[in-house]
Amino acid sequence: MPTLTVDFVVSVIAAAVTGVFAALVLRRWWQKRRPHLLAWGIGLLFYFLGTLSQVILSLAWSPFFFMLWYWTGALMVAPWLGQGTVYLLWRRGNIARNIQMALLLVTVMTLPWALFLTPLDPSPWHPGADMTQIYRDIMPQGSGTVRSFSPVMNTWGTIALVGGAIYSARLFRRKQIMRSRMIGNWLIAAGGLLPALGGALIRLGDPSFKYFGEMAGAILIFAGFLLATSAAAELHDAQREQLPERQAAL
Amino acid sequence: MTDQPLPATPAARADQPRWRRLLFRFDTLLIALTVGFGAVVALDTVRRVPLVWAYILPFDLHYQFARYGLAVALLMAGIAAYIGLVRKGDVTPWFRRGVYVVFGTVLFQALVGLLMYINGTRPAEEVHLIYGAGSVLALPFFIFVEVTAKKRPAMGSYIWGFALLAGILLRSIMTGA
Repeated sequence: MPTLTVDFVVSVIAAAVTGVFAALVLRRWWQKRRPHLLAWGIGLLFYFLGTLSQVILSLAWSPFFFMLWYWTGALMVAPWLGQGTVYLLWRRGNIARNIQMALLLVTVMTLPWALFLTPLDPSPWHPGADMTQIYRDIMPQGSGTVRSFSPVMNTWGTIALVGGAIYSARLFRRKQIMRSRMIGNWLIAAGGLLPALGGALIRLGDPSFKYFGEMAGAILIFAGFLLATSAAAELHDAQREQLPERQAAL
Repeated sequence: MTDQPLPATPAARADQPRWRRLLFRFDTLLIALTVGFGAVVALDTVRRVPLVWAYILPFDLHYQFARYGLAVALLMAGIAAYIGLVRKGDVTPWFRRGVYVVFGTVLFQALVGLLMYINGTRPAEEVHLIYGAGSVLALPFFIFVEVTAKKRPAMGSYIWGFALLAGILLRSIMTGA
């Protein structure tokens, strides 16, 4: 089967991991209603849609899924994941909410632009094609495309996600508390860097790392999230256990 | 009309006649300026092309209000930055009403553009339509943040809002004609 390549398998794994991860985070948001969980949930949903589009594009050509793949992967995933971290760390004033609105505005504006107003040339596509190698030929750079947004969105998103995770990890390390949350944040930082590194290598002319970077990044962020949230649950349980003792002491 | 200055404090202003209080409100001045600008554009169009002015007027209004909107957005961003960053103040009722006036102006501008599109006129680049929609959406997002903000002062929302609006309007102008 010509489409059953390593890239295809890697894309399927990435789609499965991000799908489960997105569902988990969105369910958590539904229970707790915290804005950072919603932003992460939206970011992961985009991650899932991007990798799913990648799988579909390995099998068949579709202009809709091509633009969905580009829009989610190159424009939306990093800033929405970063926005979750911004909500968590930037609590002064309404800065996080204002950035959220700016991001929402860019999201609303670029979606129809990407899906309906970008000229595409599908001739370079073939079954099993590595989209990172042919996307430039399918969607040439120009003022009529959304490609000009990509560096700004990715740089901002990666700085927010990776920088926020590193900041949190260093904070936990300095205070010598919640070791698993510290490790979780290091994993999130590493996971955020891998797709960004893949994107940077594409710009430098080597797209070979992108699919693997996406998959490994998703797995690392998922592992980091599970570690960090299990630490929070442990702390919550410990506080609940201490409560009757304190009440008895009183 | 008297040339005496308006009393500085709100309590002193409350003693003034209603027409005088209305006349000196920022939002009233902004409405007057906007309507006056539109009237000047319309009169100029009628004077320049007396036979086909009704056909040309939407083009002139759309063209001139884009520049006017950009200037007002920059002015409002400047006022918001002065109140929010220099004076560390919060959003005042007159400023918020001024924001609504600017939103109304941008909405009017977009409706004129829509009318032109329905009549068969096309912008230089299709992405102009996206920027047009973005300019209408820009302010409501930040108005929502400001009016629902629990943390005050919240003037930062309008600094963001008007700076983004100015950027979008600039791109609209570049992709329009």
